[in-house]
Amino acid sequence: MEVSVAGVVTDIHVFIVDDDSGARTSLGRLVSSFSLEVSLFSSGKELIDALPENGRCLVISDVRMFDMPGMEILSWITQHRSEIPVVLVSAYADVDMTVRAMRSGAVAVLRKPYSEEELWDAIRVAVQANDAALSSLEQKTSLLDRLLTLSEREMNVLKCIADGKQHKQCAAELGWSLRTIEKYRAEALRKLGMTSPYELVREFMVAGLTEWPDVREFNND
Amino acid sequence: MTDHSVSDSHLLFSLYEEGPEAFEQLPSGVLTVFPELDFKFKWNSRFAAIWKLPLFPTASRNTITFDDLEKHCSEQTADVPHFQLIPRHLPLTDSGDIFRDSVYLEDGRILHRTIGVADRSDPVTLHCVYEEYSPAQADLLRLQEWNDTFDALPDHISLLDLSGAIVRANRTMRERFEPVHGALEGLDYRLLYCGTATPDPQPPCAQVLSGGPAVEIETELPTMDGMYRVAATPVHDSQGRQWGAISIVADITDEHQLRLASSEQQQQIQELVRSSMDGIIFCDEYGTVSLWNREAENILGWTADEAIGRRLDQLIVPAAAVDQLMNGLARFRREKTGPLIGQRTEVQGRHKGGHLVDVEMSLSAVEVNGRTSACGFVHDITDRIQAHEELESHRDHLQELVDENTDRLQKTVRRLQEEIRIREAVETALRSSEQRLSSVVNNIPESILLLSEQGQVLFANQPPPYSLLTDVLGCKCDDFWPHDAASELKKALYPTDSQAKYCSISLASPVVCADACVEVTTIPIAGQGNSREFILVFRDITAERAQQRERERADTTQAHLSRLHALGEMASNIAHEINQPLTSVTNLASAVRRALRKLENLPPAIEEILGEIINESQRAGNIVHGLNDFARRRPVMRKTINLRECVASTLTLTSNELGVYQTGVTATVPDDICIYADDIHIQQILVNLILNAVQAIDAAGSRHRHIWIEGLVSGLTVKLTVRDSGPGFGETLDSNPLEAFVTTKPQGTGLGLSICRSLTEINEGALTIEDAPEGGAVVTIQLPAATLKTAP
Repeated sequence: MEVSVAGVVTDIHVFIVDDDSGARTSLGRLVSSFSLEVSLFSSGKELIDALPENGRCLVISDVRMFDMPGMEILSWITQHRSEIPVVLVSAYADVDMTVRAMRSGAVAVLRKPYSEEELWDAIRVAVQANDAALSSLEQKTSLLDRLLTLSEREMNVLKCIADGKQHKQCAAELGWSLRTIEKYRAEALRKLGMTSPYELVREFMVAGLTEWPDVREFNND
Repeated sequence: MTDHSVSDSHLLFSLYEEGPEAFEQLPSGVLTVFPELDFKFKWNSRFAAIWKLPLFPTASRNTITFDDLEKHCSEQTADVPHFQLIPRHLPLTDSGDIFRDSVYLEDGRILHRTIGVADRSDPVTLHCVYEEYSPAQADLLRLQEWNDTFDALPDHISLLDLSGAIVRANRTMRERFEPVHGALEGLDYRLLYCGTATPDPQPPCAQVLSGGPAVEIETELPTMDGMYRVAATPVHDSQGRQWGAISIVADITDEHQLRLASSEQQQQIQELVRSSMDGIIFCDEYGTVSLWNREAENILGWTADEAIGRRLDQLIVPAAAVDQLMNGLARFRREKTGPLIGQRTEVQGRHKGGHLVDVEMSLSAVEVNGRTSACGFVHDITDRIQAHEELESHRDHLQELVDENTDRLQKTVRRLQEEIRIREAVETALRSSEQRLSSVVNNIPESILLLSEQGQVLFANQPPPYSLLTDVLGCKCDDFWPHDAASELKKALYPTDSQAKYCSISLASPVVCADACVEVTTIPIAGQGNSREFILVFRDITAERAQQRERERADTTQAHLSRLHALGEMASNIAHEINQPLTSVTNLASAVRRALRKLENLPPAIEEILGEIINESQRAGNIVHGLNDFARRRPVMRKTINLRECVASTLTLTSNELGVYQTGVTATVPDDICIYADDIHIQQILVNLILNAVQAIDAAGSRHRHIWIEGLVSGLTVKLTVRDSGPGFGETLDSNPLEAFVTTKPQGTGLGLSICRSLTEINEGALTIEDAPEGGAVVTIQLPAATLKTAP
């Protein structure tokens, strides 16, 4: 069966964890044949130490390992490096375990022995997930960077408006004149490169940002 | 002396004022007293003549005192006491008061005395003027006074002539009879008193009038009520011839009645005195007996005639007491009382016969007719005294006996008290010991019987725990002993081995009483005398047996389960182990195929062959999975389990092994931890882990044999760790002891931990192993908490 790989997925680093060396190296060879960069680990701890900062990678882990089971690796990654997708492979995989793994954030669960296609499908889904996660991360970083250019007063005015308050209410709450409010609002939107506060709210949602950055110590008026 | 001089006596005072010469020449006798000058006085010569007193020497007239006077008078042999000169109490207070009276002198002269106080002179002076009446004046005065006297008397006094006619009558008589008879002079006195002048009846005066002597009678008079005393006295003229009589009639009605009454009383008293049971003796203040009644005669022997008029010391007072009597009487005379007056005393009296009589005497002072007498009541107490003495002697004797015995008794009592004290202490100790023993015997769960040699129950502790053994006291052992176990009893009570006479025999097989399973221990002991007795201890081992059976059954089940799981686990492990290389084969074949595809002119057969390899490998994998599924076919039954209970029941299952290997367990599981798992699986895991630990500890020969089981909740997972005091995994950790067929034990199969892990995974848990820092193996099972799965 022909599998088209090149041009779609080329730049992702695949980390393979399995305490069974035969399974580990054979999987490594197969993934390598997809023209992907591969690193092999015999335990979860080694893997966690080796995970790269940039996050352009995915993890294929065996479930059953005596020092750190696959489920534990999965939960650690979803907590600390949620942008990295995890694929679990297991000789025992049944429906129950699969559901549990998927709920915990696994991209796919493969039962050994799996076919080349199953593996590739899983890798593709993982790459997509990684793409989305990284992009969200990037947007978040971009938004945060722009927000950090705001002064504290501009930030306060935007916060007030984003909460759905009218300019009068903002003026009353912050103790400034209506004119001042409008001045800061215009300046803030200009700095953010936006035309209205609704744009800001949308970007917040896309980036998955939940909190306003603290700018007090950087930009004082 | 003239009337003039008498009436004008006060003039004398003025004369006297003229001077001493005039005083001396006054016609009246004058005594002048100076009360303020120690009653000095003086008198004139006329005074001395009237009173027939000697004349004072002129020089001393102004300075003489009464003392001097008395002295002077005694020298002059004149015996006029000075108090006759002046009345004792003069009713004179103020100057000018005059007191007058008459002084009757013994020689028949009558003096008129005038006393006045003159205070014109200083000092105050008392003048006493004495004038002598002439004899004719004196007679007249006397007659007048007599008349006055007679008139003043309450009695009828009359002077009668010899014919009985009244010559004169006094005022009382006149006032009584004149309203009836008119003037009394000349009336026959009999008319007045008898109502008739006839000679009959003759009043007492008649005898006197007819020449009889003076008479006095008490009589009733016909004309007057009441009782009268009539007295008559003859009256003679100067020649001694009787010319009449004086009659005095006095009303004595009251006196008479009083006398009558008192005589009756007296009779009563006399009778009382006569018949008294006490001797009654009256004596005067000199001890002379005036009354002596019959009982006194009886007691003292003297008759009344003999006694009355004699003195007590001559009669009844013993010689020894005479002085005492005399002293007592002397005091009685002085003070009207004495040492024995008003007392009741026991004394001895002298009987007429000479012997002494014991009497009780009470003396009292009695005043009769102005004379004081002593009255004694005497009672014979000889019998009483004798009885008393007898009693006394008895008492003394008794007292001696008592004294003698008291000492002995006191010693005995002291000894007894000491003995009682010791016995009480012993008894208290015994009682408390008995209570303690009884409490012990009654509170132990075993039923204890004491049997006699004949099999009779002598004692049963309370309460016997078995219904079969209630109310067995007094029964024979055969009554309640099961018949089918009779030979056991016989063996127990009468062991054939004579050496076992006093040793304990525990029955090999328990005697079954009703539904209970009982173990009986027989202990022969030495009873009273030479007999033997038996203590039978019944221990209820029903529960114990049930537990034992339960444990055996659980062990069997466990073993069966274990085998099943071991089989399944082995299949599962085989499947896994085969799947690994199959996976490798598939992966490698796929990789080769991908590599070959990049080559040109590849014979199509090669790709087909590779495809076959891959397909066949996957078929093999499917077959293995089928086997794996078959091995795990037992349906998993998960539910909410209390971890603490689960651990506790596991410890029960393993109690045998823990006991055999003498390994202690500390389980620390909070009560509120619940997991969602198949309890059979969890128990099997724990059993495996505990047995592993026990064997590992034993194999290493550790001195400290202990297992710690700890459960704690961490978020949604429950962590259960089993740690032991054994040597730990050590180097085995490198060879992954969780894999099947890896073992630290020489005889082990290497499946135990592996099975545990797969069972944990079936229950959605994870099992990890490590060595504890302080040594020993640690196995940690993580299982989902119950709340996660109980929510639908």
